[in-house]
Amino acid sequence: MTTREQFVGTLGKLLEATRAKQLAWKETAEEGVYRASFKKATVEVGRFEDEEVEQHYLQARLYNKNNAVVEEIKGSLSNGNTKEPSPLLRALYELARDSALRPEDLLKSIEDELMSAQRQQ
Amino acid sequence: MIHLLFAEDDKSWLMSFFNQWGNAASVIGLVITLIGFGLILRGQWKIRRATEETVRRVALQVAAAELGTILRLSTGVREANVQGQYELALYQCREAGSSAQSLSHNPHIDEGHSQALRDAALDLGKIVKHMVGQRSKHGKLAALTPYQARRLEAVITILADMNGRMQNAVLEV
Repeated sequence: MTTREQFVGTLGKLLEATRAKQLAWKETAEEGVYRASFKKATVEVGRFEDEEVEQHYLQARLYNKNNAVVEEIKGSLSNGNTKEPSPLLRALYELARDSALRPEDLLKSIEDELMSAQRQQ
Repeated sequence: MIHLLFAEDDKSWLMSFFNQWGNAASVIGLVITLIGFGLILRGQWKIRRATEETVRRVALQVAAAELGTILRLSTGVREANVQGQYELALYQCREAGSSAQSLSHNPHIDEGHSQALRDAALDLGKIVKHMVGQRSKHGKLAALTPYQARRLEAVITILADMNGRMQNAVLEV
């Protein structure tokens, strides 16, 4: 098994852990890129723009303790002719974004506020 | 003959003394030796503990000083960005990032702080990448985006929190 295949397998496990809310992702200084930190490694998943071809793509990066990229997987968003695991990256990206930005918490707070306003009337 | 008798008498007196007190002295000697050995071990342990505490205190003081420098550099990035001194902001951002990365390897700081420093180094690196990208695209450095300014603020908050905790840890050791 190559490192790349192993990384794809790890991304699958991260997806499951995020779905089960066992793993929390954080925002980074790059908009649309989210990070999960571990003792000896860091994983980032995010949406990037290739300015030369004006195409957006998703990418997952594996960093070692020295913050050097040791593996990366890129998946195109705009066409389906890529061999990279775009469905996995897309699912992981969406879950990572939800984990970092917590939109469900915001929506719940809005709903709670509306409910309390309705009760007061 | 008299001398011989005296010598034999003396020898028998000594032998009788040894026979009478020898076993007791051996036991007492052994007990004293064991107590002494225990005291030496205790002393050695105390010295070792004091040395380790001193080494840890010094290492934490050095780490706290280094973290203070990283915090000052990071706040410097913010101020330089606000004042339009983008070259200074870029320089300070690079310095803060490489220092944070370096400090993350310090064995005397805990795993959580080490991870936070690696994260800070990655974030500062992303800001540097953005600034350098802007320069290569437009020929000059530009201000941080509002998003990056917010993230820089978050990094500063985390570093300030860590700095406070580390200062307290130095006092506690």
